[in-house]
Amino acid sequence: MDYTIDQAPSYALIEMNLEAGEKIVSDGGAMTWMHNLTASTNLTGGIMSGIKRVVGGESLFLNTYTAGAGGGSLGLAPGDPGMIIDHDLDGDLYLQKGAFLCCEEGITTDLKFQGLRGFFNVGLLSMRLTGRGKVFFAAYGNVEAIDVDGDIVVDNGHVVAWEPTLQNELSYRRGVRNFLFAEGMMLRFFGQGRIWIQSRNPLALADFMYPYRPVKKDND
Amino acid sequence: MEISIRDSGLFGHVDVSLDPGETFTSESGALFKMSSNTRLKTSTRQRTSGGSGILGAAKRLLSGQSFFLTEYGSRDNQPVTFSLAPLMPGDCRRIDLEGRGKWYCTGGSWIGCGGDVSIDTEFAGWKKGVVGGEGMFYLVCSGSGPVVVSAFGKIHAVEVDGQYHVDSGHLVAYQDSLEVEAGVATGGGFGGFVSSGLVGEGFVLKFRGRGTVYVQTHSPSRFGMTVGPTLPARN
Repeated sequence: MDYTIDQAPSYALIEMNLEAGEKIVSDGGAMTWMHNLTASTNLTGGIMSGIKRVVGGESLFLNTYTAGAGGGSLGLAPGDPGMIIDHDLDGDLYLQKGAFLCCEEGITTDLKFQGLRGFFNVGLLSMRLTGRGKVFFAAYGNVEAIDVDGDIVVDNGHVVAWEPTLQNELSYRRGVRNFLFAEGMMLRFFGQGRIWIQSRNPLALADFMYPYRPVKKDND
Repeated sequence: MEISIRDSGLFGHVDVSLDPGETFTSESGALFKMSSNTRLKTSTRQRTSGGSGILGAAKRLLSGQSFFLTEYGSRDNQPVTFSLAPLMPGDCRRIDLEGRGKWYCTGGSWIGCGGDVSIDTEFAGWKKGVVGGEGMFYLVCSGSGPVVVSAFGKIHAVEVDGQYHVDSGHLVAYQDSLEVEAGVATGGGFGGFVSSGLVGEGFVLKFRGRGTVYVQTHSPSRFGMTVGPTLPARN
C-alpha cells in the first residue's frame, strides 16, 4: 500500500494504491472513486458491532476493498472539509464519533460507552480501534496532535482521537454559569499520551444554522 | 501576552499565552482547549436596545453571537495557554490598537481582545445597517492592545481614502475614523430599495473618509439563508 494525503488541511483526501490482493477497510461512505478493486460489504464483527457502529455515528457496514490483478487504486474522503491523519496503530486508539475513515485489514473496531461524560459528549460512544497497522481518521478543520504529559482541558466538540493511556473526566472549571449558558462541555485529559484536537466544531455550525430553519406554522 | 494566528487559510485559529497577571477576554463559545491552570470568569453583556416583536426576532436571527464573554487569567501564578476558534471556516486576523480611536467589529466576527482593551456593545441602528445581516451588533474596541477578529472565508484589508461601499454581510471590522451610512446598492429612494431587494443584493455600508475596513469573502447570513431553508422546520 502506498498513499498520499492530498489538499490537506482544508479538503484532505486520501489517494491510495494497493498491490494485487491488498485490502483496505473503510467506513461506508468514504469511497469517492476506485479503479480495479472489488468491494465487499460486510458487517464486520457481527450484527451487534454493526449496530454499535451506527450508534457511534459510523456506518452499519464497513466496506472492504480488494485490489485485483495488477493492483488498484482508490480515493477516500470524509464528509467534513478538513484534515486527515494517518496513524501507525500498535495497540489501542479511541476515536470520536464519526472520525473513522479507514484502516488496514485486521484492525478491530469496537465501541466504548463513555459513561456520564459520554452523555455530554458529541457521541454517546467512542470508537475503539485495536491491532497493528495503518489507521486513517478525519476531522472538521485542521488537527493539532498534542503529546500530553500532565493534563490538558479540551472542549468535547473538538476532540478527535486520543490514546488510551490518557484518561478523561468532565472538567467543571468553566463554573456553574458556564455549565448553564456556554455551549459544550470541557473534558480534562490527564496522564501521558497523545491527543488529536480539531480546530472547528460541527455542533457550533449546526447551532449557527438553527435560526435559519423555516418555522413550523400553527395550522400545519 | 503572546497571540499567534495559526493555520491561516480555511481553518485559522488563535493560540494565546498569558503571563501571570495578564488577562484576555473572548466570546464564550470560542474556547476549545486550554492548560488546566487557566482561570475562567464568565460574564454577560447586555444587548443594547434589545426588544421583542419583529425587530427583536430579526435581531436574534441575525446577531450570530452569544453575548457571554469569558475572561481568562491564571489560577496559580504560572503562565497559561489556551486556544480560540471561530465558528465559520476562515481566516483570523490580529488588529493592534494603539490608544487612538476605536474599532467597530461585527458581532459574528469578533473573537476576543487583550485585557487592556475596553469593549462595548453597540446596536448598529438603521444608519449603520440595522437590516444588514451580520452588522446587527458591533463590539466596539478601544484602548490599546490586541484584538482578534475572524472571517467566513478570507479577510481583505481595504485602505479607504474617499468613498468605499461594502455589502453589510461581508463586513468584518472598521476603524471609527471612517463615517458610515447604510444604503442600498442600486440607486437611492424607494425604487432603489425595491430593485436592490429584487436582485438579491444586501444592504450596502457606505464608508467615507480615511481608515481601514476589513471585509470577508463570504457572508455568513447568506450561507445561512442558502442552507437553512433545506432543513426541517423548527417549532
